[in-house]
Amino acid sequence: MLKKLFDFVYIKQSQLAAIFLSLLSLLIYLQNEHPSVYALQGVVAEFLTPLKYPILFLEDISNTKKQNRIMSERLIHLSVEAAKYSSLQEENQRLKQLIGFRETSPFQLLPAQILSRNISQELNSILIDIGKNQGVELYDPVISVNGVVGKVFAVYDNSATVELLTGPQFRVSVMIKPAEATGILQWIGGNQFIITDIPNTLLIEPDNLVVTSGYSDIFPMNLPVGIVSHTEKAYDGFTIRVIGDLLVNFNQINELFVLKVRHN
Amino acid sequence: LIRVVFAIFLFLFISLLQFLFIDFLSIAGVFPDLFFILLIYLSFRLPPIHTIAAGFSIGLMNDMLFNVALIGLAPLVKTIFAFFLTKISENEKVLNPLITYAFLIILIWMNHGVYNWFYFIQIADTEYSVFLYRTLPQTVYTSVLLITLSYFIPVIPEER
Repeated sequence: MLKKLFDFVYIKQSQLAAIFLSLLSLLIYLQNEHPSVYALQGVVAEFLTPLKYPILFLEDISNTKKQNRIMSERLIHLSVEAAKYSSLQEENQRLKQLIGFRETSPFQLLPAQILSRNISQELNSILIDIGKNQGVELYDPVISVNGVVGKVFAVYDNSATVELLTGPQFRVSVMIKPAEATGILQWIGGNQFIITDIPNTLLIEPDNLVVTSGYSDIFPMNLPVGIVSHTEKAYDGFTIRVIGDLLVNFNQINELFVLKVRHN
Repeated sequence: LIRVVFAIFLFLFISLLQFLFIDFLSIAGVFPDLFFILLIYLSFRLPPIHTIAAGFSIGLMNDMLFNVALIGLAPLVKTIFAFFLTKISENEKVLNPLITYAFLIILIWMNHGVYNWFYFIQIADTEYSVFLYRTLPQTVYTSVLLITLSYFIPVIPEER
């Protein structure tokens, strides 16, 4: 009996190994948020982080000139905007004082660079070069100069994993300006997003700005996310689906900022 | 033993290559699956059980380096396709080389297809675009790279 069993295992060893390892993979897949899985990721990230620094240094040198030109152009636009904003802010503060509003929290930005990306055409996570030692915490929002990029998903000593807005599981509470319609934004591939269940009584038009609503504990309000491209009628007849383009080009992100929100 | 040690060395080298130079391998946002190419090469050089173990290890490394949010998906897909690769490798002698390559390209397509299907399962309205804009370009890139590489290093070794 034992010999038969042994023979069976020996003959079918490759099939049994495939079944066993597939089940083990499935178990890991279902235990994605287990602390030991996080610990394993941390060990790999901490080991690999220093290896990437020479490549980052070379990339930095080659990108500096190009970035400098873009930043100069942007600076000119922003100076004009800042002048407008300054007068509007004064007016806003005065009006807020009149109605007794409390000032919202200011941010602190921690600059970060990308160490590794997903090999898929669409990215769902990246590794950045700052971690606990630099003040990064779990679920800190991550932004680029163009808008929301994602949130910190796992933190290690000197690196962190960022779950991107272009992940299939990622959702963010947003507001469409100027109609102030709120909904949950979900990425649908490419550089596009969808916001469902918006009442059809609200006027949403192409080029309307989509910003974070501030209703979640993670993202503060008014961080730019995307631009509305068009709307579609939903099957129920009472709501519309808003389709738009994300402001961040996820194939070209290089420098990021981890946003530290100072809660009052 | 020498082959296994060499396979481990190659595995670490490819992991490092894909980790350090991933941005340079991109063509219009499409990346090749170097890990699957490595697995194809190993399947014709290692015993079946070692190939399956390699599929699992390669998948695990793939997820730890590039896809930590869905860790476990690549080991699952690569273990299953490593098993199919062992079947092609076992029958390689009775197959025409062209048919062997055709089977390999089908497996590359299925590897990308199944992975993308699991990956995008939670997003509605994307089945067609996932195939057209992700699976197809990835399959073409990985297959072209495999065929180019096989010109220099044959996938099927002369002495087996």
